[in-house]
Amino acid sequence: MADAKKMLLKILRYDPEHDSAPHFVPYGVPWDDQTSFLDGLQYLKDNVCPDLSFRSSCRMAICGSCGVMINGVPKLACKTFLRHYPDGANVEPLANFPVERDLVVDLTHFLEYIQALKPYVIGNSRQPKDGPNMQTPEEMSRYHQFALCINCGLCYAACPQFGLNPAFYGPGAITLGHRYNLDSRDHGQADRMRNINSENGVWGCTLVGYCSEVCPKHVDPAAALQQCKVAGALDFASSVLHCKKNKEACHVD
Amino acid sequence: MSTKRKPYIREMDCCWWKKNPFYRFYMLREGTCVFSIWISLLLLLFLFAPASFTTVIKNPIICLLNLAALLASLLHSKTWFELTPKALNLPADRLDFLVKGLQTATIAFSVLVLALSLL
Repeated sequence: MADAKKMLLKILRYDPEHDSAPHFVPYGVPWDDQTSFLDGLQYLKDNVCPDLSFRSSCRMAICGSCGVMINGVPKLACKTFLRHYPDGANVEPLANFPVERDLVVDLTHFLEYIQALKPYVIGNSRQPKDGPNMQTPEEMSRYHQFALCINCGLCYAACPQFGLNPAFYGPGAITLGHRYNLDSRDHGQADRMRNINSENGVWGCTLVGYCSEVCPKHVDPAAALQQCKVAGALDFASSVLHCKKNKEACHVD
Repeated sequence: MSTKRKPYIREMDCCWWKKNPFYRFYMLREGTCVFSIWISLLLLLFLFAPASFTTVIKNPIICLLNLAALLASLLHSKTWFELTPKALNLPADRLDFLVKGLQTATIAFSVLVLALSLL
Protein backbone atom coordinates (compact mmCIF):
# COMPACT_ATOMS: atom_id res chain seq x y z
CA MET A 1 0.00 0.00 0.00
CA ALA A 2 3.02 2.31 0.63
CA ASP A 3 3.75 2.49 -3.13
CA ALA A 4 0.16 3.31 -4.03
CA LYS A 5 -0.94 6.72 -5.27
CA LYS A 6 -1.75 9.18 -2.49
CA MET A 7 -4.76 11.36 -1.89
CA LEU A 8 -4.76 14.56 0.13
CA LEU A 9 -7.09 14.40 3.12
CA LYS A 10 -7.37 17.47 5.31
CA ILE A 11 -8.48 16.34 8.73
CA LEU A 12 -9.85 18.65 11.38
CA ARG A 13 -7.69 17.95 14.42
CA TYR A 14 -8.44 19.07 17.95
CA ASP A 15 -6.51 18.22 21.09
CA PRO A 16 -8.41 19.64 24.09
CA GLU A 17 -5.22 19.65 26.17
CA HIS A 18 -3.27 21.87 23.76
CA ASP A 19 -5.55 23.48 21.16
CA SER A 20 -7.87 26.41 21.67
CA ALA A 21 -9.81 25.55 18.49
CA PRO A 22 -9.84 22.77 15.86
CA HIS A 23 -7.58 23.19 12.81
CA PHE A 24 -7.09 21.33 9.53
CA VAL A 25 -3.98 19.17 9.07
CA PRO A 26 -3.19 17.77 5.59
CA TYR A 27 -2.24 14.10 5.17
CA GLY A 28 -1.39 11.97 2.13
CA VAL A 29 -3.30 8.68 2.14
CA PRO A 30 -2.48 5.78 -0.24
CA TRP A 31 -5.62 4.58 -1.95
CA ASP A 32 -7.18 2.42 -4.64
CA ASP A 33 -10.76 1.81 -5.73
CA GLN A 34 -11.47 -0.27 -2.64
CA THR A 35 -10.27 2.28 -0.05
CA SER A 36 -12.94 3.76 2.18
CA PHE A 37 -12.45 6.87 4.29
CA LEU A 38 -12.39 4.63 7.34
CA ASP A 39 -9.53 2.64 5.77
CA GLY A 40 -7.74 5.93 5.14
CA LEU A 41 -8.20 7.08 8.74
CA GLN A 42 -7.04 3.71 10.05
CA TYR A 43 -3.94 3.91 7.79
CA LEU A 44 -3.11 7.32 9.25
CA LYS A 45 -3.57 6.07 12.81
CA ASP A 46 -1.41 3.00 12.19
CA ASN A 47 1.37 4.70 10.20
CA VAL A 48 1.39 8.49 10.50
CA CYS A 49 -0.37 9.89 13.58
CA PRO A 50 -1.15 7.33 16.29
CA ASP A 51 -2.90 10.00 18.33
CA LEU A 52 -5.64 10.53 15.70
CA SER A 53 -9.00 9.85 17.35
CA PHE A 54 -12.10 8.61 15.56
CA ARG A 55 -14.90 6.15 16.27
CA SER A 56 -15.51 2.96 14.30
CA SER A 57 -16.54 -0.62 14.80
CA CYS A 58 -18.28 -2.82 12.22
CA ARG A 59 -16.81 -1.37 8.97
CA MET A 60 -20.03 -2.25 7.11
CA ALA A 61 -22.60 0.50 7.82
CA ILE A 62 -24.36 -1.39 10.58
CA CYS A 63 -23.03 0.04 13.85
CA GLY A 64 -23.34 3.74 12.96
CA SER A 65 -20.13 4.69 14.81
CA CYS A 66 -18.02 6.27 12.07
CA GLY A 67 -20.11 9.29 11.08
CA VAL A 68 -18.00 12.25 9.90
CA MET A 69 -18.43 15.28 7.68
CA ILE A 70 -16.79 14.72 4.29
CA ASN A 71 -16.54 17.99 2.36
CA GLY A 72 -19.28 19.34 4.62
CA VAL A 73 -21.69 16.43 4.05
CA PRO A 74 -22.53 13.94 6.84
CA LYS A 75 -21.36 10.45 5.78
CA LEU A 76 -20.41 7.11 7.25
CA ALA A 77 -16.63 6.84 6.76
CA CYS A 78 -16.90 3.08 6.15
CA LYS A 79 -19.49 3.49 3.38
CA THR A 80 -17.79 6.37 1.55
CA PHE A 81 -14.92 5.69 -0.82
CA LEU A 82 -11.90 7.83 -1.67
CA ARG A 83 -12.37 7.07 -5.40
CA HIS A 84 -15.37 9.44 -5.40
CA TYR A 85 -13.15 12.35 -4.27
CA PRO A 86 -10.31 12.48 -6.82
CA ASP A 87 -9.37 16.03 -5.74
CA GLY A 88 -9.04 15.08 -2.08
CA ALA A 89 -11.45 15.88 0.73
CA ASN A 90 -11.88 17.65 4.04
CA VAL A 91 -12.81 15.36 6.92
CA GLU A 92 -14.42 16.92 9.98
CA PRO A 93 -16.29 15.67 13.04
CA LEU A 94 -20.09 15.52 12.75
CA ALA A 95 -21.59 19.00 12.68
CA ASN A 96 -23.90 20.33 15.42
CA PHE A 97 -22.26 18.25 18.17
CA PRO A 98 -19.50 19.46 20.53
CA VAL A 99 -16.06 18.15 19.48
CA GLU A 100 -14.35 16.06 22.16
CA ARG A 101 -11.15 15.30 20.26
CA ASP A 102 -10.29 15.14 16.51
CA LEU A 103 -13.23 13.35 14.84
CA VAL A 104 -14.90 12.26 18.07
CA VAL A 105 -18.02 14.22 19.08
CA ASP A 106 -20.08 14.28 22.25
CA LEU A 107 -23.38 12.52 21.43
CA THR A 108 -24.89 13.05 24.90
CA HIS A 109 -27.80 15.15 23.59
CA PHE A 110 -28.79 12.49 21.05
CA LEU A 111 -28.52 9.65 23.57
CA GLU A 112 -30.56 11.53 26.19
CA TYR A 113 -33.29 12.28 23.66
CA ILE A 114 -33.47 8.62 22.60
CA GLN A 115 -33.94 7.70 26.27
CA ALA A 116 -36.60 10.40 26.74
CA LEU A 117 -38.70 9.16 23.81
CA LYS A 118 -38.80 5.56 25.08
CA PRO A 119 -38.10 3.57 21.90
CA TYR A 120 -39.30 0.23 23.22
CA VAL A 121 -42.61 -1.58 23.54
CA ILE A 122 -44.66 -0.15 26.43
CA GLY A 123 -47.84 -1.48 28.07
CA ASN A 124 -47.91 -4.92 26.50
CA SER A 125 -48.84 -7.44 29.19
CA ARG A 126 -48.29 -10.45 26.95
CA GLN A 127 -46.27 -13.24 28.58
CA PRO A 128 -43.92 -15.79 26.94
CA LYS A 129 -46.50 -18.51 27.61
CA ASP A 130 -48.94 -16.61 25.35
CA GLY A 131 -46.70 -17.36 22.36
CA PRO A 132 -45.37 -14.96 19.72
CA ASN A 133 -47.10 -11.61 19.33
CA MET A 134 -48.01 -12.00 15.67
CA GLN A 135 -48.26 -9.10 13.25
CA THR A 136 -49.61 -9.02 9.73
CA PRO A 137 -47.17 -7.92 6.97
CA GLU A 138 -49.27 -4.75 6.64
CA GLU A 139 -48.91 -3.96 10.35
CA MET A 140 -45.17 -4.43 10.10
CA SER A 141 -44.84 -2.37 6.93
CA ARG A 142 -46.21 0.68 8.80
CA TYR A 143 -43.04 0.99 10.91
CA HIS A 144 -40.43 -1.24 9.23
CA GLN A 145 -38.66 1.58 7.39
CA PHE A 146 -38.23 3.54 10.64
CA ALA A 147 -36.88 0.46 12.40
CA LEU A 148 -33.80 0.49 10.13
CA CYS A 149 -32.22 3.42 12.04
CA ILE A 150 -28.67 2.65 13.23
CA ASN A 151 -28.36 5.71 15.53
CA CYS A 152 -25.42 7.09 13.55
CA GLY A 153 -26.38 10.73 14.18
CA LEU A 154 -25.88 11.85 10.56
CA CYS A 155 -29.43 13.27 10.58
CA TYR A 156 -28.51 15.47 13.55
CA ALA A 157 -25.43 16.75 11.72
CA ALA A 158 -27.70 17.56 8.75
CA CYS A 159 -30.40 19.30 10.79
CA PRO A 160 -29.93 23.08 11.05
CA GLN A 161 -32.76 23.28 13.59
CA PHE A 162 -30.81 21.02 15.96
CA GLY A 163 -27.70 23.11 15.29
CA LEU A 164 -29.57 26.29 16.17
CA ASN A 165 -31.40 24.78 19.15
CA PRO A 166 -29.65 21.74 20.72
CA ALA A 167 -32.68 21.28 23.01
CA PHE A 168 -34.69 20.12 19.95
CA TYR A 169 -35.24 16.36 20.24
CA GLY A 170 -34.15 16.06 16.61
CA PRO A 171 -34.85 13.67 13.75
CA GLY A 172 -33.24 10.44 15.01
CA ALA A 173 -34.85 10.23 18.46
CA ILE A 174 -38.30 11.30 17.25
CA THR A 175 -38.13 8.75 14.43
CA LEU A 176 -37.33 6.00 16.93
CA GLY A 177 -40.24 7.08 19.13
CA HIS A 178 -42.55 7.19 16.12
CA ARG A 179 -41.43 3.71 15.08
CA TYR A 180 -42.90 2.35 18.33
CA ASN A 181 -46.01 4.54 18.11
CA LEU A 182 -46.75 2.77 14.81
CA ASP A 183 -46.14 -0.71 16.23
CA SER A 184 -49.38 -2.66 16.80
CA ARG A 185 -47.82 -4.39 19.85
CA ASP A 186 -47.14 -1.11 21.63
CA HIS A 187 -49.46 0.92 23.89
CA GLY A 188 -47.11 3.76 24.84
CA GLN A 189 -48.09 6.44 22.33
CA ALA A 190 -49.76 8.71 24.93
CA ASP A 191 -46.63 8.49 27.07
CA ARG A 192 -44.31 9.41 24.17
CA MET A 193 -46.53 12.15 22.78
CA ARG A 194 -45.93 14.25 25.92
CA ASN A 195 -42.33 14.76 24.76
CA ILE A 196 -42.93 14.55 21.00
CA ASN A 197 -45.60 17.28 21.24
CA SER A 198 -43.65 19.43 23.70
CA GLU A 199 -41.89 22.73 23.06
CA ASN A 200 -38.67 21.01 21.97
CA GLY A 201 -40.49 18.19 20.22
CA VAL A 202 -41.56 17.69 16.66
CA TRP A 203 -42.73 21.28 16.09
CA GLY A 204 -39.12 22.43 16.04
CA CYS A 205 -38.83 20.73 12.65
CA THR A 206 -39.29 23.02 9.64
CA LEU A 207 -38.99 20.20 7.09
CA VAL A 208 -35.61 21.12 5.70
CA GLY A 209 -35.48 17.47 4.64
CA TYR A 210 -31.69 17.12 4.58
CA CYS A 211 -31.87 14.46 7.32
CA SER A 212 -33.56 12.09 4.87
CA GLU A 213 -31.08 13.00 2.15
CA VAL A 214 -28.03 11.99 4.22
CA CYS A 215 -29.53 8.98 6.04
CA PRO A 216 -27.32 5.99 5.09
CA LYS A 217 -30.15 3.49 5.71
CA HIS A 218 -32.91 5.41 3.84
CA VAL A 219 -35.01 5.66 7.01
CA ASP A 220 -36.48 9.01 5.88
CA PRO A 221 -36.62 10.68 9.31
CA ALA A 222 -38.26 13.75 7.75
CA ALA A 223 -41.28 11.56 6.93
CA ALA A 224 -41.43 10.27 10.51
CA LEU A 225 -41.41 13.82 11.83
CA GLN A 226 -44.18 14.98 9.49
CA GLN A 227 -46.29 11.97 10.52
CA CYS A 228 -45.59 12.88 14.14
CA LYS A 229 -46.87 16.39 13.46
CA VAL A 230 -50.16 14.91 12.21
CA ALA A 231 -50.32 12.63 15.27
CA GLY A 232 -49.37 15.57 17.52
CA ALA A 233 -52.13 17.78 16.11
CA LEU A 234 -54.69 14.97 16.54
CA ASP A 235 -53.40 14.31 20.06
CA PHE A 236 -53.79 18.00 20.95
CA ALA A 237 -57.31 18.16 19.43
CA SER A 238 -58.43 15.05 21.28
CA SER A 239 -57.01 16.36 24.58
CA VAL A 240 -58.92 19.66 24.12
CA LEU A 241 -62.14 17.76 23.43
CA HIS A 242 -61.48 15.48 26.40
CA CYS A 243 -60.93 18.52 28.65
CA LYS A 244 -64.19 20.14 27.50
CA LYS A 245 -66.08 16.97 28.35
CA ASN A 246 -64.36 16.38 31.71
CA LYS A 247 -63.45 19.82 33.04
CA GLU A 248 -62.67 18.56 36.52
CA ALA A 249 -60.20 15.99 35.12
CA CYS A 250 -58.10 18.67 33.39
CA HIS A 251 -56.19 21.45 35.06
CA VAL A 252 -53.93 24.03 33.51
CA ASP A 253 -50.36 24.29 34.91
CA MET B 1 -11.34 14.27 40.05
CA SER B 2 -10.06 16.71 37.44
CA THR B 3 -10.87 16.22 33.79
CA LYS B 4 -8.98 17.02 30.61
CA ARG B 5 -12.25 17.37 28.70
CA LYS B 6 -12.81 20.65 26.89
CA PRO B 7 -15.55 20.04 24.30
CA TYR B 8 -15.35 22.54 21.47
CA ILE B 9 -18.69 23.95 20.34
CA ARG B 10 -18.83 25.18 16.77
CA GLU B 11 -21.30 28.08 16.63
CA MET B 12 -23.66 28.34 13.66
CA ASP B 13 -23.42 31.71 11.97
CA CYS B 14 -26.28 33.46 10.21
CA CYS B 15 -24.92 32.31 6.81
CA TRP B 16 -25.16 28.58 7.58
CA TRP B 17 -27.59 28.05 4.70
CA LYS B 18 -25.23 29.46 2.06
CA LYS B 19 -22.73 26.60 2.41
CA ASN B 20 -24.84 23.77 1.04
CA PRO B 21 -26.97 23.67 -2.15
CA PHE B 22 -29.67 21.67 -0.32
CA TYR B 23 -30.01 24.41 2.31
CA ARG B 24 -29.99 27.10 -0.36
CA PHE B 25 -32.92 25.44 -2.14
CA TYR B 26 -34.72 25.04 1.20
CA MET B 27 -34.38 28.79 1.82
CA LEU B 28 -35.64 29.51 -1.70
CA ARG B 29 -38.61 27.18 -1.10
CA GLU B 30 -39.43 28.87 2.20
CA GLY B 31 -38.77 32.31 0.67
CA THR B 32 -41.75 31.84 -1.66
CA CYS B 33 -43.94 32.82 1.32
CA VAL B 34 -42.80 36.43 0.86
CA PHE B 35 -44.61 36.48 -2.49
CA SER B 36 -47.69 34.97 -0.83
CA ILE B 37 -47.73 38.02 1.47
CA TRP B 38 -47.44 40.27 -1.56
CA ILE B 39 -50.41 38.59 -3.30
CA SER B 40 -52.44 38.76 -0.08
CA LEU B 41 -51.82 42.53 0.12
CA LEU B 42 -52.83 42.87 -3.51
CA LEU B 43 -56.07 40.96 -2.87
CA LEU B 44 -56.82 43.19 0.13
CA LEU B 45 -56.36 46.20 -2.14
CA PHE B 46 -58.79 44.60 -4.60
CA LEU B 47 -61.35 44.11 -1.81
CA PHE B 48 -61.14 47.56 -0.23
CA ALA B 49 -60.12 49.80 -3.19
CA PRO B 50 -61.04 48.11 -6.49
CA ALA B 51 -60.53 51.31 -8.50
CA SER B 52 -56.92 51.74 -7.31
CA PHE B 53 -56.30 48.02 -7.81
CA THR B 54 -56.84 48.29 -11.58
CA THR B 55 -54.39 51.19 -11.81
CA VAL B 56 -51.80 49.48 -9.59
CA ILE B 57 -51.68 46.18 -11.46
CA LYS B 58 -51.01 47.96 -14.76
CA ASN B 59 -47.74 49.34 -13.40
CA PRO B 60 -44.79 47.53 -15.13
CA ILE B 61 -42.95 47.01 -11.82
CA ILE B 62 -46.07 45.45 -10.31
CA CYS B 63 -46.37 43.25 -13.42
CA LEU B 64 -42.80 42.04 -12.88
CA LEU B 65 -43.50 41.44 -9.20
CA ASN B 66 -46.61 39.45 -10.08
CA LEU B 67 -44.66 37.40 -12.61
CA ALA B 68 -42.09 36.60 -9.90
CA ALA B 69 -45.00 35.75 -7.55
CA LEU B 70 -46.40 33.35 -10.17
CA LEU B 71 -43.04 31.57 -10.53
CA ALA B 72 -42.69 31.43 -6.73
CA SER B 73 -46.16 29.95 -6.29
CA LEU B 74 -45.44 27.34 -9.00
CA LEU B 75 -42.26 26.33 -7.17
CA HIS B 76 -44.14 26.31 -3.87
CA SER B 77 -46.92 24.09 -5.28
CA LYS B 78 -44.46 21.67 -6.87
CA THR B 79 -42.40 21.24 -3.69
CA TRP B 80 -45.53 21.15 -1.51
CA PHE B 81 -47.00 18.20 -3.39
CA GLU B 82 -43.64 16.45 -3.52
CA LEU B 83 -43.37 16.70 0.27
CA THR B 84 -47.01 15.72 0.96
CA PRO B 85 -46.25 11.95 0.98
CA LYS B 86 -43.92 12.43 3.92
CA ALA B 87 -46.88 13.20 6.16
CA LEU B 88 -48.74 10.07 5.10
CA ASN B 89 -47.91 6.54 6.11
CA LEU B 90 -49.07 4.83 2.91
CA PRO B 91 -47.52 2.29 0.50
CA ALA B 92 -45.25 3.88 -2.15
CA ASP B 93 -47.50 3.03 -5.13
CA ARG B 94 -50.50 4.76 -3.52
CA LEU B 95 -48.37 7.80 -2.68
CA ASP B 96 -47.27 8.20 -6.32
CA PHE B 97 -50.90 8.10 -7.38
CA LEU B 98 -51.84 10.66 -4.71
CA VAL B 99 -49.10 13.13 -5.69
CA LYS B 100 -49.95 12.91 -9.39
CA GLY B 101 -53.66 13.31 -8.55
CA LEU B 102 -53.01 16.42 -6.46
CA GLN B 103 -50.80 17.95 -9.17
CA THR B 104 -53.43 17.22 -11.85
CA ALA B 105 -56.20 18.72 -9.68
CA THR B 106 -54.15 21.89 -9.13
CA ILE B 107 -53.43 22.31 -12.85
CA ALA B 108 -57.10 21.66 -13.74
CA PHE B 109 -58.33 24.14 -11.12
CA SER B 110 -55.81 26.80 -12.25
CA VAL B 111 -56.85 26.40 -15.89
CA LEU B 112 -60.52 26.65 -14.87
CA VAL B 113 -59.93 29.87 -12.89
CA LEU B 114 -57.88 31.33 -15.77
CA ALA B 115 -60.63 30.44 -18.30
CA LEU B 116 -63.34 31.98 -16.10
CA SER B 117 -61.33 35.19 -15.63
CA LEU B 118 -60.74 35.56 -19.39
CA LEU B 119 -64.36 34.98 -20.33
